[in-house]
Amino acid sequence: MRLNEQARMVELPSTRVAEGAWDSAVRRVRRRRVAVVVIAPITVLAVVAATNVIAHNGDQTPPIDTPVASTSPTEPQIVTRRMGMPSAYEPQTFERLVGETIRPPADAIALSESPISYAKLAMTRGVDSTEILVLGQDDKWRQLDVPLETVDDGSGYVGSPFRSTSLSPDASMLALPQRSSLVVVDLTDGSHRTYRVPADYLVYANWLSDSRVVVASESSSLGWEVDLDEGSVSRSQFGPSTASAPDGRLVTWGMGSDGFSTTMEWDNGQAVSSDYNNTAGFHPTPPLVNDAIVVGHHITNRTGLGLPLLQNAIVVVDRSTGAPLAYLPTMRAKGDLTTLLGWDDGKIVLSLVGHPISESEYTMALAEWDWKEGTLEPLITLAGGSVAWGHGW
Amino acid sequence: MRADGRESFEAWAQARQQAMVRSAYLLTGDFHRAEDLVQEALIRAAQRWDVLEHGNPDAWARTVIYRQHISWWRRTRREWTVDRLPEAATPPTADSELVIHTAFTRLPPRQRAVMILRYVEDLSVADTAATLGVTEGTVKKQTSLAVERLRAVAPELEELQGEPT
Repeated sequence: MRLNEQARMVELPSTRVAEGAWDSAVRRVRRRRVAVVVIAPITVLAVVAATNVIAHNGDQTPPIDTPVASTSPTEPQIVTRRMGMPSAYEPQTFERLVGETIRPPADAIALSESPISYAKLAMTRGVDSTEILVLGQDDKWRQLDVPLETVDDGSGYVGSPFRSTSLSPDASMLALPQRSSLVVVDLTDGSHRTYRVPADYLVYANWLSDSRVVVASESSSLGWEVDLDEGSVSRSQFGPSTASAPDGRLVTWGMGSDGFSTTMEWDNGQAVSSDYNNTAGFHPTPPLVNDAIVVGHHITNRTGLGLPLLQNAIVVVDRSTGAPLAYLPTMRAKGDLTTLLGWDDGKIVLSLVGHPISESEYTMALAEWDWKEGTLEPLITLAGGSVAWGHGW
Repeated sequence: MRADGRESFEAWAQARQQAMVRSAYLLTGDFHRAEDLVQEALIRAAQRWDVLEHGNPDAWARTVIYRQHISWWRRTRREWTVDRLPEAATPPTADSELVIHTAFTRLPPRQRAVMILRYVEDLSVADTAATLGVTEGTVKKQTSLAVERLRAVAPELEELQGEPT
């Protein structure tokens, strides 16, 4: 028997969900119209109040932009507006985000003995560590039992092959660069495969899709593409700052000719300029991209352009125009170790790194920034080196 | 929303509600959750009826249902609840129901969604990818993974014979 035949035989009560749907829709539309009328004066007051808070971090209050309407099949028409928030590391904010610290057990079972369907998240036990653990769909930790070495960036810095970009989009695989190869671990059966790459000092591995990984060294802007389906390795036109959108388009977050602006270069040759760049971070990270927006991190100060002084921040920009939609300052007094991990239904997942617990461990407060609502909420606090967020399920 | 769209919207919604809830039930394993998803999709469809009436409201509503379920699932997984079998409106009584329940509850949500869209709603790979907002490659891979998993649970299902299409 076919699945759809089986499905039709499943008995269910009669439903009446259609009743009242039209009236409910009418009420929502009316409520939204009232909210828009009310928001304008409240926004002015909120900006004035925010100025006092942001001033502690040296930021200036942004001007109110013209609201931009966005529509998608999954959401009612919403009006997004550019909004600033206090720094995520401001003491009051950060303390609220740090919860009970979770540390993977020292005796976590080996992945090969107990594979998983997908990883909720992955992390290293310590900074620069090759001990990698994954939290499976069953909320149990596994430790990778794949032989791995630390990676050298060619300048003498030796670190972990694991990064925030190590998990595949469906969270079923890990991509881990080694000096001249890429190791891909299949979390669903614990197996791994090594792909030789004609390059040296590889340190970056970035997923372009569920089956394509770009690996690169610290000094190169372009990398090598490993196609897992084909088993091939070829020169790539993309580098570690490249990300893929749900529609399959690839974008590289690069530097504009003026040394400040960002060029979002799409794989069809389209280039969109933005006034925010992504070059002040500790390492190039790919932006987060969806059908409508691009999210980048580590934005340097901008002056003389009529834009607010942002320091480091996470900025949401319109994918088509490069216009900013929202930003979250992240600058800390002792350096910014914020990492963009991914997103979840329009909310950005971040890792905010606190002060070190030991020589090798940091407190990592994972939080979710709802840039449309202007909220920043805690997810989980981990003790370890670095983390990757699992999107798969 | 034009007032004169009400009649055509309600005719469409009444005709489709049971089928939508059935699909949503297979997706969630929970009848009440299924009704919530469908109700939300219908309300949003009503808000856009001016446009949808002359388009494909079925496909649009299906997309809303599946993507809303995805976002709901991603929100609730934060609570770190242990995986458990979803509640059913009534316990399975027939072998076919048992197969469906057993089969689908063994699948991770994405694989479950893909299997329902491909083999219950008979969507193409492209339409399934568009509904879920993923690439066609992802759909094929998730289908392959799901079929492998289901073979151990429900080998008699016709779709599991041979390689997935």
